[in-house]
Formats: sequence, structure tokens, C-alpha cells
Amino acid sequence: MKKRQISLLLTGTMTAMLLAGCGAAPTPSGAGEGVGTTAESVSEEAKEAGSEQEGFSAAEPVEISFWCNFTGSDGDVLREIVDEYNSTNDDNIKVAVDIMDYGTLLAKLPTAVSTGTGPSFILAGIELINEYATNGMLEDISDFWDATDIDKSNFYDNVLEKGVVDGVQYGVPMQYNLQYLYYNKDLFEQAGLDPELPPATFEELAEAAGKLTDSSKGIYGLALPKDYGAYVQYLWGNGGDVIDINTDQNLLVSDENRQTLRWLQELAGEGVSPAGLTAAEADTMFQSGQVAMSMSGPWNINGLNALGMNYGIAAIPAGTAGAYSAEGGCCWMLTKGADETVRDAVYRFMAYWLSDPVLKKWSVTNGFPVWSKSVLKDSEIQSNEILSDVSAASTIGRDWHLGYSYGSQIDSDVMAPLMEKVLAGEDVEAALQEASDTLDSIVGK
Amino acid sequence: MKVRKRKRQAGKAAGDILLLLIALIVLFPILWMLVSSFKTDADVIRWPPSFFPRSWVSDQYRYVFSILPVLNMLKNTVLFAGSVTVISLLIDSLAAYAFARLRFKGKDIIFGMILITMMVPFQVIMIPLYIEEYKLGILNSFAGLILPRIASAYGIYLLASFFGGIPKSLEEAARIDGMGELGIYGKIIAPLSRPAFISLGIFHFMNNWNDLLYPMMLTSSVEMRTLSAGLAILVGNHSIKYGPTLAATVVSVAPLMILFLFGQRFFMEGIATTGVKE
Amino acid sequence: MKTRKINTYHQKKAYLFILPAMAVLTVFVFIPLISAFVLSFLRIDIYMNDIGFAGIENYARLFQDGRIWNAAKNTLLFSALEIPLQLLLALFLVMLMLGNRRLDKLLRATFYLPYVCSMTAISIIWSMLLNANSSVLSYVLRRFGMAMPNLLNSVTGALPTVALITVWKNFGYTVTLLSAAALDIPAALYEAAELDGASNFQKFIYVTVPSIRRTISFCFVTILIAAFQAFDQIYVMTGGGPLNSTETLVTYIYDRGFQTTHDLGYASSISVVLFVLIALVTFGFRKQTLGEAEE
Repeated sequence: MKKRQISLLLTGTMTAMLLAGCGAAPTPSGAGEGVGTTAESVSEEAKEAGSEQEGFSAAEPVEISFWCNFTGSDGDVLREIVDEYNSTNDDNIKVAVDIMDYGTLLAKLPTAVSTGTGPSFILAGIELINEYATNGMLEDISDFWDATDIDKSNFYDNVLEKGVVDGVQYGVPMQYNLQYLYYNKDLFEQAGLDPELPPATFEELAEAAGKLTDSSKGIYGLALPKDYGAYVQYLWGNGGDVIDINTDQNLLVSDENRQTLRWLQELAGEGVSPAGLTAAEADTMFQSGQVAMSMSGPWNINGLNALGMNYGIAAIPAGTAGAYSAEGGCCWMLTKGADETVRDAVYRFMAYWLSDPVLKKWSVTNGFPVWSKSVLKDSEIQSNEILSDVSAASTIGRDWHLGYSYGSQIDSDVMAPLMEKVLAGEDVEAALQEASDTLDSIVGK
Repeated sequence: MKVRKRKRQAGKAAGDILLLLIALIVLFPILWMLVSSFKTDADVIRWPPSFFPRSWVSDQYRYVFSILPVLNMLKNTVLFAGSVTVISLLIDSLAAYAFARLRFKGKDIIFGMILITMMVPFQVIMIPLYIEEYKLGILNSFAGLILPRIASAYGIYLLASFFGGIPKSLEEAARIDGMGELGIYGKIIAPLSRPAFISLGIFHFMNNWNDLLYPMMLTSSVEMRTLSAGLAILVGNHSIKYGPTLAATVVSVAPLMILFLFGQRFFMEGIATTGVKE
Repeated sequence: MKTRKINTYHQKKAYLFILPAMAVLTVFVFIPLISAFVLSFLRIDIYMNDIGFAGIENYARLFQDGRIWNAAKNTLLFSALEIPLQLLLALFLVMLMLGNRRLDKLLRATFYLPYVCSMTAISIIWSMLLNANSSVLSYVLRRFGMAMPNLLNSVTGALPTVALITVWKNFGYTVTLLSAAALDIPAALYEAAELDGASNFQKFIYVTVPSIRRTISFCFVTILIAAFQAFDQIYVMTGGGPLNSTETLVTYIYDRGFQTTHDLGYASSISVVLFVLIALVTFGFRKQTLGEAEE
């Protein structure tokens, strides 16, 4: 039969095409190849290039590009810095930035990198680094410090670690962030609370939330978003957790978690938070003064300042077992297949990012905590009120399952539904059990 | 009789009120978007909200134009949507002519296959298509954007059903006069199908103009972005910038809206007689 | 047809006519589609390392995955809500506008406006407007002492809301198509009905609707296609939530393949399920779809 032959042929070609498509990046090292040898030899050369760098001035023009999802107001500052670099660097390097939404970035990047059609480097959240590194999307950049002559010890170790997977460096930190308790000082005063005394414990938090809520004006005491990482801080605070990322042990079903979730459910039941809130909505409602307290990252600071908001930043309150804040951050990563010219240019740009003026500008305009010791000594940084609040609230950072290989799946398939159910008033025990079963099936137990 | 007439009049009035109410529901969000895009950042999220801005500002537009090459994106969109429309009208109509007018082996099977693919969403073929374009070396180029869209199952379906409704007598006379198939297609069927062409053309143009995921996947630089894909970068998941988002939305729908308002008659008449003459 | 023999000369011509379209569709639709089918039998993720043959493993997983049935149910539910609603609303409006007054023409143009906008833009605007806590609408309702329901965040309300917004965007197109056909009906037909003393409604049901039957089924097919492909509005307004209550097969494919697990093989097997569903629906409505082309 003719028809059959044709369809067989088509199937065959396509499969062959697909399979061939993966390893055939038009670059020195294909996606599927081992990391070891290629990366090493490249890094030797990069080192040489590094030591020669004072020698030449009018270098060949090099164009490098990166993708990221900085769609907020921090993206404007990022673009500014990139523009500045493009117009001031002596190495004839031009950096192009392509900003896209997170969903598109996730969908496009792996295919683009494995076909060699992706960007030269990436700026992405640390939740992606583990998965990308283990799937061969990233270059080993362990020689970055030697090649660029940057003093590694000038930076906080816990931040630098975010770019390391299994002892190999894949990322250079770009920013570091924690969650803070934002509170609206005007609303505190109106409710008869001391605007200089934000809640320090979960109990105080619940109490203040009740007092601040004024349903007749449409004002809520505390934002309890269903989707973002805030839940883990409540669990930690009372001594619970989600998973032990070293042993894959499921820690969901515990008395501590039960107690925390019931408490959250009770709080939500009292109507202190708008129902069904997303983290982005929570940020917006805090900006518009409809929510008096909200736990969120530093990316709000820029916008809040621009709006002229009278707000304060405090550390995440403590539960029975202490206070913890979920760490996050972004790293620069070099995509697989970069040749030495690209690697060299990307290193230079990364080095530029780590320079004092850039890091300082980033922290001052966006309110991200400072993680460079030399920048920390800067007088302007030291006298910056918000940054000192931020720094004071930044001592309780805790690494969570962000960088864990199942991290994003746990977030979307286990924790988001659990929090949605708990906040909507469904049975805590059943929801917890179900979440735990899903977690087991994800980590393969 | 009189009662009946009055009843009829009352019914008409109720009908008119209903029509106007629906028109209001249609217009309200569009007007709200337009008006709100002239608010300041604080005004957009202000509580209690107000419909009109406290002061009319063009900040949001200035911001959108400052961070994005809007004119270049507009050019890309016109080029992409325009060429797709023109070429696919030709290719679709040729195929539709064969399906509607000629008899050949395998016609039903092939037509059935085309019909089924009409409903397959882009997400299903996204990755294979990406790899294919990579293999062909046309990623991130106009060829890569335009080629996959120059034949459309829906277009073939629509035109075939229109051609099917044109009386056979006309072409039979021409055939007796010795006119070839291409002549019949070009001189008889195509001119008679003007409304269907206009309607399908508008459909293709609008769909490609407004498409998001497709151009986003197949382009990888800002220079190649179309308007709706380029403006999507303002809608992030961490922080949504409502002001610029509104302005960007206005910018992306404005060209088509203006086109529609000016060419309204053309639009409506074209679509009006689409295809399915009884 | 009585003569089974087909003129080979004509046949060759016919193939030439469909050649450009078939070439494009083959390269850019059929081959990707077939390869999606092939992928569903592979153990492959989006990184495309360690590709292996999975046999029916992906399909076996489908049966244990409650979300797939939920997504299939939502796909059908969305279509079952959206299609009749859009069609009946459009028909009803056409009835009201049969007089074809100036006002009617103006209204038709107004109804068409949302159709010109992109689904993404519409979805952004509506999700802002429907926000129960901060939108103008919620404020107005609050002033009247009513609470705005959080429609897009309600397990029962989100899917109908998304369907309604889809209707809001697209019904103008259907109205235009149907009006045009209805206005083409010879006046004589109505006159006969009037002599029999038919009311406006009766005239519409017994004269108008039967005369525009073909246009109606054409609209039906067009809406059906759009309903099965619905993605942008769900992605922007609900992201498939709350609690997967708006997750359709298309959004689930996207989630498994590109967002959460990056499992191309599994996502492709869901695509095959969707494809089967599409084929079944196309077959079920073959009168409406295939009937058109063959006069």
C-alpha cells in the first residue's frame, strides 16, 4: 500500500529528525556530551584570555544575549545597567537582553538551548539551576573567579552557594532575596497600633491582623496568598517542614504542620485576608493600601517608594520554633555550548555586575539586601534606612526546596493545592494526607 | 388587533432596551481600559477606585514606548500578518477549489484529515515545529514565522463551503467554451467569492495579528517580536505593572480597532456574506 | 455519483491545485503531529537527554492520573457551555435586529469590537475588572451593600466565567454572520407567514432559522474549533485553577510539557487523547462539518 509506505516514511524521518535534533547543536560541545573534558579545556583557554585582557583594547565586536523574566519595575533598572555597560565597556561587547514572561521562558529555554538556538547566557531564579545543571543545559563556570580576578571572599558564602550544584559552580549570583513582613504604618496608626512595633510572633501577627481588618472600608489585616512560597515560613516557624531534600523524606504529615495549617485556616476564616489571593495581587493590594500586612520579597520596594507609601519592613515573625524566612535569588548562568569568545564576554559582563557601583545601584534602587562586603561598607548604603531594615530582617534566611530537583513540581502539584484547600476551609487532615500522597508519588515512593 | 399591536410595540421596546444593555456590557470594559490607560500608577490601583483618572497623563504610554521598539514591532506584525493573509488566501482557495469542484482519488480522506487538524491546538505541535524550523534554519526569521501559516485548514474549509454554494451552471458554460480549470477558478469562482475572500482575509489578519504563543516561541530576539508578543513582557508573574499593562493593551488593539472603525463597512459586508449562501 | 471512473487528466489538475496547501500542511502540521504521536511512546523530557523507548508507559500513566479526566471533563464542559450560549445569544440578537434599522447596524458594529481584540488583552482587562477586592465593579457593588463574588477564584464559578468572557469576545462575529444570512431571506417568505398571522417570534422560528440553517452549522463548527483550542483566556485569567477547576486538556498539556514537569512524552500522550476526542467530535458532527463542502 502506497499510503502506508508514506506514513511509515514520514514517521521514520520525523523520529530521526527529532532524535538527531537533540545532540546537534552547532557548537563545540553538544547538549548530550559529558561536561568534564570540554569544559576543562575551554576554561584553560578562558584563563589565558583573562590574563591577556589588559593587552588589547579594540577587540573584535562580540554580541552576547541573555533571557530573563524581569517583567517588573526591577526589569527597568536591569535594562538601564545593561545599556550602561554597552555604552561604557572597552571590550566591544554588546549585551542584548530579551525579557519574557516566566511561562514562556520555561517553555522555550530548554528546547532553544538543546538546539543551540538559545541565548549566550541566562538570568534565572535559583529554583531552576539544579534542574538545568543536571540536564546539561549549563556550562561549568568554576574558573570564573580565577579568570576574572575577582575576590570571591568579598561575597557572602551562603549567597555564592546558590550558584553551586553538587560542588560545581554553574551560576554567579545576581541578587539575593528573602521574604519580609511589609506593614502599612498609616493603617497601623488608624487601628491604634504602634507603627514602630510590628508583630514579632505569629500570635502578635494574628492579633494585629484582626485589629487592622476593617471590612466596612474594604481593608484587610494580612494577606494570605495561596500560591507563593509564604506557606513554608509558617510551617518552619512552628517546627514543621515539607521535605528533607537530602533524604527525600516526606515531612508533611506532622503535628506541627497540622497545628500551623489549622491556625492559618482559622485566621483565614476570620476574614483577615481577601479570599483566593495570588501573591501578585497581594503585592498590589498592599500598594493600594487595602492590605495592612503582607509577606513578600524585596521587589516591592521600588514600587512602594515610587508611590510614596508610608510603610515599614520587618523580619518574618517567629512561631514556637523560631523565625525563618525563605531564601531566593537569581543567578547568571552560561548556557551549554558557549565558545571561548562568548564565555569570555559573558564573564566580563558578570564581573561588571559584581562591581561595587552596579551592586550598589541594584540594592539602592530595588531594595535588595547587600551581599557584597565592600558594598556594605559604603556610607550611602549604611545610611539607607530601608536597606538597613532589610539587612536587619535578612539574618533569618533558610534554604528551602527551591533548588531541589522536584522543587517546582512540589510547589505547583503539592503545596499550592494544599494551601488553596486549607485557606478555603476544607478539612485540614484530609488535605494534608492527600498532599502527602502526591508528594510521595512525585519523589517516587 | 389593537392589543396585539401594543403588545408588539412593548416587546420591541423591551428588545431595544436589551440590545442597548448588551451594547453597554460590550463597551464598558473597552472604555474602562482606554480611560484607565491614562491614569498614574497610583491612580490605577487606588482604593476606592474611580472610573475616570484624577488627572489625565500619558506616562504609561511614554513608558511603553521607551522600553519597547513599538514601531519596529508594528512593522513586524504588519509584515507577518499581511504576508500570511495574502499568501494563504491564494493557497487556501486553490485547494478549496479542488475540494469543492474537482473529483479525484482520496478526496474525502484528505479533506477529512484537513478537517481534523483544524481543531488541533498549537501547543500539541509546538516543540516538533520548533525543532523542524531549527533543522530548516528558519527560526527567528520572517520565513519561519510566515511559512507555517500560509496554508490553513480553516481557510480551505471555509472557502470550500463557499465555492460549493456557487451554481455549477456558470462554470459548465465556460467549460464548453473551452476554459481551463485555472481559468474557471480565476475568472469565475474567485470573483464571485469576493465576500468570502474578504472575510477569510480579515480572519487570518486578525488571528495572526493577535497571536501570542506562536510568535513568542518561534522568535528569539526583540527585533523579531510582533506587537502582541512583545507587549506580553509587561505581564509578569512576580509583579504586574497594571498601568503599563493597560497602555500596552491599548497599543496592541488600537491599530486593528482603528482599521475596523474606518473600514467597518468593508469588514461587515465581507463577513456578512461569508460563505454560506443558502 | 454514477460514474466511478474519474478522468485522470482532471485528477492530475486537482492534485496540482491542492499541492501547495498539502505541502505546507504536511511539513508544518502533519509531520509535527505525527512526531507528537511518536513522542508519546518515548521516555523524553524537554531537555532531550537520555531518550528511550517507553512503550505504552505514558498511556498507562494516563489511567492513574485523575487530572487528565478532570481536564477532559472541563474541555467538554467548557465547550458545552460556550457553544450553545454563543449561538443562542447571537440568534436571539439577530431576531431583535431583523428590522435592520440604523441602530441595528450601529449595534452590530459595536458587538463586533471585542472580536477585533486579542484574547490575551481581553483576559487581562476582565481579570482586572472581576477582581473581587479592588476593581471598580467590586467597589460599586460594595456601595450598594453587596459583596462581589470572587468569580475567577471559585471552584464552581471560574469555568462558566471564563466561558462567558469567551462568549463576550466572540459573539459579535456570530451575530454578523447570522444577520447577513438572515437579511438575505426573500421578503416573500415572511409575507406568507404574516398572512397566516404569525408573531415575530414565530416568523423567526419557522422562517428565519430554517432558511439560515447552513450558516448556523457553519458558525457552530467555527465556535467548536475555538472552544477546543481555548488557551489564552484560561492561561491568563485562572492558570487552570482554582484547584484545577478550569484546567482543560490544552492547558494540562502545556503544564506537563513546559511548565511543571517538562515531560514531553507524557504531554504528548495527553495530546493524543485530545486528538482522539477531536476526531470523535468531528465524526459526531460530520453532518455539520463535512456536509458543507459536498454540496
